[in-house]
Amino acid sequence: MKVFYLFLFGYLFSFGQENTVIVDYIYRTKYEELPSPTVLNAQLISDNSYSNFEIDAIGDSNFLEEEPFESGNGFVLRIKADKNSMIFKDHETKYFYSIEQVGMKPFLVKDTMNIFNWQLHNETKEVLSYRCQKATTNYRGRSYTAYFTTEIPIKDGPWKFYGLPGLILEVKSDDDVFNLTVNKIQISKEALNIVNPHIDSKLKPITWQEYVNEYQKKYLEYESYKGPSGSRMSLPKKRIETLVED
Amino acid sequence: MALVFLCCGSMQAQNKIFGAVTDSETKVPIEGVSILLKNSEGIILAYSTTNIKGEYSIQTYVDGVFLETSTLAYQKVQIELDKDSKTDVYIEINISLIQRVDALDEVIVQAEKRAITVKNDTTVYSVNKFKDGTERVLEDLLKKLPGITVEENGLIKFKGKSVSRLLLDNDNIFDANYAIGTKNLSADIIEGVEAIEDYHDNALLKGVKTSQDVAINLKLKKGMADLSGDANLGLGIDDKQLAKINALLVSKKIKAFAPVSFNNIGENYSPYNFVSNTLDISKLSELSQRTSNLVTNNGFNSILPDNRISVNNNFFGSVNSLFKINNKTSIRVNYSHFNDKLIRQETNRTVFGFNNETISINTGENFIKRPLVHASAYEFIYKINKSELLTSVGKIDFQKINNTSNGFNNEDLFSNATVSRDLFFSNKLEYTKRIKKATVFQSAIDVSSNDLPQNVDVITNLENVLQRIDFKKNTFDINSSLLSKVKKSEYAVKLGFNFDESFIDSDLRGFTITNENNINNIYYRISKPYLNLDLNYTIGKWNFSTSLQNEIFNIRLTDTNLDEGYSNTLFAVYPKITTSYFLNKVSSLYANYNFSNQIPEAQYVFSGLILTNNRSVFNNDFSFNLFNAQSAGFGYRVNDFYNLFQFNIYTNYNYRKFGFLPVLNVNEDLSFSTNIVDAVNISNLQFGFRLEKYLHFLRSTINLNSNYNISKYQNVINTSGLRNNTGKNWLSEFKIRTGFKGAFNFENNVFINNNIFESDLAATNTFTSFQNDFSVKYVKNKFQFIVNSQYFKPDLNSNVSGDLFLDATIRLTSKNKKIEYMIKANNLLNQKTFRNINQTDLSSSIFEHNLQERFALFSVGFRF
Repeated sequence: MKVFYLFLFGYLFSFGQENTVIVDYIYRTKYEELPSPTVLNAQLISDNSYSNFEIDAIGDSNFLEEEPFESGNGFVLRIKADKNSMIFKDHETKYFYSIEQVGMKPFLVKDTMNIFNWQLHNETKEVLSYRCQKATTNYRGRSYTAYFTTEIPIKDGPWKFYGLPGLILEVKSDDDVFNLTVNKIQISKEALNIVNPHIDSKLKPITWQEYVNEYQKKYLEYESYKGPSGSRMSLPKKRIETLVED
Repeated sequence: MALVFLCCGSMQAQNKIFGAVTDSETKVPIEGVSILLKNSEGIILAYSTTNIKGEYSIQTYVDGVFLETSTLAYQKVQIELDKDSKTDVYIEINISLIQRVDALDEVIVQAEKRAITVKNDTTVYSVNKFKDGTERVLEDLLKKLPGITVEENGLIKFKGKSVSRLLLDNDNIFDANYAIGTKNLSADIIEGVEAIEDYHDNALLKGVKTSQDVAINLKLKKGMADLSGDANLGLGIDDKQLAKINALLVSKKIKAFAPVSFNNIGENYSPYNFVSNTLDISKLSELSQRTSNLVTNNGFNSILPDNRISVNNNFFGSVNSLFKINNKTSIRVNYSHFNDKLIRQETNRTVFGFNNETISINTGENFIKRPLVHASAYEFIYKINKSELLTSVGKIDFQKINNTSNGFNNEDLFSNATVSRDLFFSNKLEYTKRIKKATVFQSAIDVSSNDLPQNVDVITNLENVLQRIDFKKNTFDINSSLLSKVKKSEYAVKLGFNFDESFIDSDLRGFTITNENNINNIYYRISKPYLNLDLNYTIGKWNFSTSLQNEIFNIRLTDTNLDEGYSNTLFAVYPKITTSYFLNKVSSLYANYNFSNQIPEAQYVFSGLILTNNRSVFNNDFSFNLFNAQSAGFGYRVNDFYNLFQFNIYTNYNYRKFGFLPVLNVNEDLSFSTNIVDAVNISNLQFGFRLEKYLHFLRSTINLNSNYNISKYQNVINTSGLRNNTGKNWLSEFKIRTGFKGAFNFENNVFINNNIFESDLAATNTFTSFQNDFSVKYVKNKFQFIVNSQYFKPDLNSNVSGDLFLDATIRLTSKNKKIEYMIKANNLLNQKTFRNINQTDLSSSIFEHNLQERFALFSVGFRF
């Protein structure tokens, strides 16, 4: 009986999986200490069971047609990367997997998805013709305002954002450091096989706390480093999330 | 439709709706359904998600009107709440859902703004993090940024690659002469620094050809006035002055930077150096277009830093500007003026020992050197359309060096007066068109002309010698190239024609050597069509870069001293290959091989005598030959920034079969050298390693560098016959720097340099020099105190005593950072001369020269 139950459950679940939602976002960070913002394309692919958020850090080096000809106009920057950053959410186990860096070294962090404590607000606005409601949260050192819609029945969001009863189309940190805005929404009938991009990673998953401990250790080392002609190294205390407490 | 069961529960302390969600057909609980409590306007007041048993619970609010479900696999259900039930504290609502028969309709909605293009070759520095407050000008700041080094001549390197441009908010106002910016721009106006790798002046080449060039882009602080700047005025004992004013203009149409300075404290804020022998970086790309200066080219010889040996009086003024006329057209204009009066006193005791013969030469000489520079440059950029670009770049510069000296050579008194006037002109016109997405066509015409008359007057108590020299060089180059990128491979084909002619006219009067000519009248021309092929490709962890140059030389040499001229046609091919293999993210192996042909320059062609001062005279015994040289290198490199560990071990080998064999004739009064083209078998073998490691328990970083070099070369002195010589040089340095968080920090550097010269026909000469630099910095808030000491011992094995130098600087900045007071005291122990020991395979000498003497300077700086 139990076997039948599981079978049926699995069958029904997959039956309903025929939609995939693909949302393109513009991912913008303007850290306090940096002179100019980083603006990148990002994409969320979700089917409510699994989702993957990919930030296009590599870009296409043959994008000449689109590159602004005038230097100095719409100048877009990115610290050199050779891989796109991806955040994979497993809605069944409620864990997400992301690559976090200490300097240029990557670490695979496995963190619980329930890290956001949202407050709902009465304000609404239309985003790409979807009615969105406002929600706010404080998360690891910054406060955020998000707009989500329940008109697309997917419970997900860009980057690590999660926990609202619909799809998050816009998130801004109140200090304007971090900003995600939707650029394109595509609801497809084609079921995509969304797999964890970090599954074959040689990196061993660590917890957020273990990552923060490693970061703090390197922070202290870099603080005292001096190169031959006086060059310095430093890690920021805060990226999107606070990593070193004052 | 949905089946709804409402049921009233018992009284509880909290208002709550709870229940379970099941599939309407199978009655199986559904997990992950969002349950939304909405008001009449559809605003969500509270929400919950069902667990694995399909259960939910949700807090109610007074204005909650209905419940709604939301999930992908089931149809939406809305349940209006009973008005009475709102007052109830505890309500159970069970919901059953019907599967969606069809999936959601396909939808694509898109915002009007376009997605973003990504640049992936920029490193951004936030400069405040790297500052410790002791930075004055941009150069001081750049040195502190990881990956960036600044060399003696002002050349900036980023991760070992040369920086070709310094941009000011994305604008190129300095071009190659960016030392004007790095030595003068205030570090305080810079908010951020970007290192842009794979940089192209020409944006159309981006993505088609990987460039080894790096540009440093300076982000200026926001909110600066259109016109800003800083000024620095200082007075000191004895009779020391410093005046420095910088003005920066930043507006929409014009960007300009103008530094002006005067000083006699041994500083140089210009890119022009006449004190020591450093290469002017702005002339690097013009080396093949310029002729040689034989008489006033040399700086003063010393191992000490320039500011100790420079007894100066210099003025430097420069204007660097960029005008943006419209969206398509911009013009860059640069002008610089520099003049100096350098005073130098030298004594030299040299003993030549060979063939059981000893020659002692004692000289003393007092120099006054007056260099003068006027340099102007322009660039015109016209963007014809999105895929076509036309540029024209040119410069005219004039350099006059006037050098007078008097002294003695053994017992004989003499005076030298030399003057050179170097006038250089060049212009390059370039057209670029992007044909396809990753294919670019380029065509360029480059012309240049250099005229360099040089005169030497020597007066001794016996004779009056006059040397007139005129060197001229004209070049012309026209070429077209096609560049393309296909996946990970880059191809470039360049076809061109190069024309290069040199004229040498010289006349020497009042001096003769038997059987040698006193005049030169030479025309030397090389014209060549050429075809260059470049290929760069990456396969897995391997990267290959190859190039093949094919040239057909047409050579004509006419020398009126010789019976017949020389003319010939030669075909030459030079291959070059560099490969690297990445072992992992932080380490790589690399190897390179290079076959090159050096074309003899005009200064090695003349056969008649040319005298450059009271005791030096040159000529050549020339026969045309392409001097092919081979070089190979291999190395292993680790750049582990994460663990603050850098390591490099390398070896290089160079070999040249043909070259110039120096034949030297020395006596008490004269050095006469002739360069003979011959088989010379010059080779050079080098090994070395570099290591850097941060040690956390010491809060310090150490560097250990060592390099061992063996070179084999040949020469002839007087009647010695051919001498085979070996020079061995071993250089080691150990550096340690603290990075304490407190106000005090220390740095100590040790250098040891060991030289051995061996010759098959003479005794071995050896010497080892030692240097130790120690500095203490105290930096607290607006107050800084820095003490430097430098100790030199010219030879550890000799009884020549070492010299110790002490310098101190105190600096105080006002609270608003607008005003700064400084006391600078250099050479506190007042060393008046510096004694150096030098040995070669031929001679050993003790060499002494004057120094910038002790001074103290008080200065005030303010910003506007």
